[in-house]
Amino acid sequence: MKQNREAYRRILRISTLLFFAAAWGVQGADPPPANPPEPKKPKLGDFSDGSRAHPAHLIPLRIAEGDVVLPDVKPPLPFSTRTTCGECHDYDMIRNGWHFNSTENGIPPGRKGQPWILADAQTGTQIPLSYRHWPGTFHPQEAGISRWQFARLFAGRTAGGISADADPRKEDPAARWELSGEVEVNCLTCHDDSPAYDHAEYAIQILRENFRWAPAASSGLAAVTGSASAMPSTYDYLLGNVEDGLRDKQPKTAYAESRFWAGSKVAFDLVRTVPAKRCYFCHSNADTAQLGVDRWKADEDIHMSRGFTCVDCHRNSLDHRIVRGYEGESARGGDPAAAALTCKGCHLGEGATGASAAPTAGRMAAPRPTHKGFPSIHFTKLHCTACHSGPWPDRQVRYQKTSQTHFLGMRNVNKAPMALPHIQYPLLAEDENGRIGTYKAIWPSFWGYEAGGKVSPLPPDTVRLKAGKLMEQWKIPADGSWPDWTAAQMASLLEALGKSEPGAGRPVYVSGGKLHALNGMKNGLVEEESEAAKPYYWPMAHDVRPATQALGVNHCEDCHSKNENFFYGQVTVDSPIAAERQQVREMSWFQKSFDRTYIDKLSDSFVYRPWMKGSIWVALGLLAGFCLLYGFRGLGRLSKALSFEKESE
Amino acid sequence: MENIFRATVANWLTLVLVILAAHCIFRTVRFFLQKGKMAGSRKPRAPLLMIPFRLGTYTVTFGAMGVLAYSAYTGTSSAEHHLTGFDLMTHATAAPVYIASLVFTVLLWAHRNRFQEADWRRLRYPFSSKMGPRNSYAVLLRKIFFWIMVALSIPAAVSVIISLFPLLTPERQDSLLFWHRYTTLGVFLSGIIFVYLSMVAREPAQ
Repeated sequence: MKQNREAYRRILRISTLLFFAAAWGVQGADPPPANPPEPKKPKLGDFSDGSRAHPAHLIPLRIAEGDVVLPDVKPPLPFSTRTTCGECHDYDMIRNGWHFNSTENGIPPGRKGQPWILADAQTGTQIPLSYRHWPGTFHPQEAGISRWQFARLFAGRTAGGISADADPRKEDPAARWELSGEVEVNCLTCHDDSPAYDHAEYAIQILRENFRWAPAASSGLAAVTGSASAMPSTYDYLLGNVEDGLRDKQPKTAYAESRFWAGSKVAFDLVRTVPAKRCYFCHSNADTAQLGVDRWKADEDIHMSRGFTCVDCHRNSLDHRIVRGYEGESARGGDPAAAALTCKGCHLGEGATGASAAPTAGRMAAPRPTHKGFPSIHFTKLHCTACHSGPWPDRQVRYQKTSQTHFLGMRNVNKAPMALPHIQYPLLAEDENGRIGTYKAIWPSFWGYEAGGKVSPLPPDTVRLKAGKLMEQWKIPADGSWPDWTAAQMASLLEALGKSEPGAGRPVYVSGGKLHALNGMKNGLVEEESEAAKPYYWPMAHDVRPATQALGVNHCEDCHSKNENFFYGQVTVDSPIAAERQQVREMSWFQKSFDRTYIDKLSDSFVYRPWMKGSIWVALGLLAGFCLLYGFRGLGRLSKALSFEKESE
Repeated sequence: MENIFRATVANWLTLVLVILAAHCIFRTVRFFLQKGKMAGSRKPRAPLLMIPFRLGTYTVTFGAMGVLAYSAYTGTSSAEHHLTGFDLMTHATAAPVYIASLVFTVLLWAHRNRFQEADWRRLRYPFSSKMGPRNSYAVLLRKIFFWIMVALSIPAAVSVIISLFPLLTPERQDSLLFWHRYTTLGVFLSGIIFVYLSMVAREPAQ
């Protein structure tokens, strides 16, 4: 019995040991071999061999489904850049570039920049919009603009890259992505150097909702007629079957057969170094005083005059994350090499990264500035742009039209100088770190509802719908600028908005930096401060003036004088309300961390500064004279003492 | 760099004040030991009308020096370590006042602070009075620090006034600012010592 018990115990011990040994063995054993993911193989065009020569692009066109476009196959379908260019280039990587990710979530927004501006003269609307959540802008969804509507409104002035939401129907039931197609990255927008490339045609196709046809239409390889916007929601572009009445309106692609080589290939004039003329379709800026016949008065950026092109500084890798060129870009999610592509990077050699101590100042023949006579405090309180960018500041700010906001370069565009939106510049304002730079600004104006301290803008079409016949009688200026509204008009529309949607919140109108609401009296309005009403301003760098035209080139009083405009320039309040347009803000209003009294006193001090310098020099001369006089006498006494002779007297 | 300078200022100022305090205590003790007799006092020989002018100039000069030192020290205490804003304006306003009044101070006090045979004898025969009358060490030191203060005021002012002309790059201006800081530290410390010694040290009656 005892032996049995001992035997049981031994078996139990051995089995316990075996169990733990097995468990340890399982735990310590190597994991089963797994197939590591294969590194993505670079595509043919993505891995340069280092040749600086221009590669020929004699390639077949492909439709979105991947099939090669054959000119004799009817009906011809529009080629897709995703499949045509994507054959040799990593489209998915390029798709995340700065130009193409503006509607994507989770992209580091970087420094605030130019917003998209929803403008409408009739409803007195100019709303700064951005998906990048820059403070002061509204997310398009907040303004009732779906991604589909955003594409329709603004994609014509982009290089593409706007696709449907994961659930487009949820965001906008009226979205027609199936008909229009997505706005693919249009590589040709930038890289096509052919004189036949027509971005204005691209923009027109976007307005017609011909998103998938736009690259083909603009390429000069095909003519596209018809409009997807006229097609019923059941339309299938591959089949192309429509009822007879819609046949003429159906989007059709007609390729220029003479452009096809043997093997159905097409020669593109594609360039790696994008010419400035391509950038200008979306990035032109025009001073309203230098439009039309006065265009010859405008100078271009000093860098362009010296033979640069935009991409010499605004470079990118295959990922197309274009260097924006501002200080601190690399710290905000940009490439570390971007730090050396700022003003300071080229001109002063600051910001270079890496182990190499090689100097970078003077790259691309950038002259090194001496800034003689400038106290170094200027370089901590000012951005380079404060003195070097935009026009020399006048007493009143100027107005500017830009491609992205005013459709410059489009057909039938409103060429009136004061067509909305109104962009003011050069605004000498400070950034979040208290450094002054040159900015552009707009004063948000829109109808909306305020609830819980949050103001939600209404898009112009909704305002028109809610206003009904009320707004039809209001005059709209022929030039597309602000109407002249009275308080009574505004009060009537605010009442209409309140009645149309009682639960939406307090109806308000934002303009001129204020929030306007009903005060309960007949036609009575109350003005309030609001974050939503504050002018939105964003930094500008171009056009850069040469050093000989920079602020401070004459004397300190270029800025430190009450007659000059760095601190004392006037910014007109911009608003459809005539009374508000009479108001001005001084430039120092945008320079909050500077004490206004100090600025005044400092400016006054420069009046007396020459006298002060002169009197100090005289005083120093006298002091030196005293020192020399007594010094020489002391030397004489020392010499006498060292002679150890007794005085004869 | 600014932190090193601020530490230097604090250390030297402390050292000078400790020495002056020790000297003051020493004199007080000696005063009581000698039963109230102060050595070397001399009646002023200046006309009565000149006394307020002398004292006024003296007060303005050293008052301006105090303002300059205070505005410089507090101004550079900011996070940016730059003298700016109202501190800068105060500093820039007090500077010409200091220089102008220093000219008058030198005019009125240079002769009294000239080096004489008595000073030389103090150096040559520190322990023997048989070789003729000697000035006290305090008088000698007063004269030395007077001239140090005056002499250092010139580079201190020049280093800044040159920066007001479009001659030098910001880097060169920063170098001058370095010199300005350390020369003004010398001016300030020698000024403190001079003020103290001019209160306690007089030439012996002749």
